[in-house]
Amino acid sequence: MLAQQKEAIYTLICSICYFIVLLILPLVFKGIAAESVLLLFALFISSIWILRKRSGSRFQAMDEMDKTIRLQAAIIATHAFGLTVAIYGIVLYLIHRGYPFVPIHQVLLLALHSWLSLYAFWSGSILYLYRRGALSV
Amino acid sequence: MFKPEQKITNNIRKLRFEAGEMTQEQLAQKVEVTRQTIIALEAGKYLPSLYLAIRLARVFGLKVEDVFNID
Repeated sequence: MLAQQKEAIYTLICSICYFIVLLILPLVFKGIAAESVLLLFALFISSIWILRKRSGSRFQAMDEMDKTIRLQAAIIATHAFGLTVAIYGIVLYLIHRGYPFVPIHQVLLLALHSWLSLYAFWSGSILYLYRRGALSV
Repeated sequence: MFKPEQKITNNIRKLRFEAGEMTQEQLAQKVEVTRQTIIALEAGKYLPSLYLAIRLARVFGLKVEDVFNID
């Protein structure tokens, strides 16, 4: 397995784990503070950075097919990221439209969920494109 | 006139065997890509850049159009 594929698997699993943590934490602690969301944000970024180092994936060591797949996966992920932001924003609007403001922790959760979706779709797309082959353009 | 649904094929695998049964790894090293890229090329899952296509053709001492074709 290529280092890039290992990196993608680690990143995908990490993103899913953080999604699950974000589902469970508010249930266990009857809510979530804004500072906790920021901490999880920092932990997530640190986690994927560490996992990337451990996978041995380096951009300079990639050949043209690796870079093509990485770029195409990023394009797919960007659209998924936008869709997540849009859906989340609409949901927040529907929940809070009777109020003058949205709680800060929910705004931060929108940001964190969007970031998690970006990495989940990016890594998932990388794995899919290695299996299927890069898109012909 | 080329139709959009026409596919680019190659005979890299056949040329590899004709070139003294060169392995995928050996060919990959010659053109400075990974073995997985050669696998993807032979399976038709990846279209190489012009640069890589020319390098591949030069390994076999052929022209690009002798290695790649449009079906």
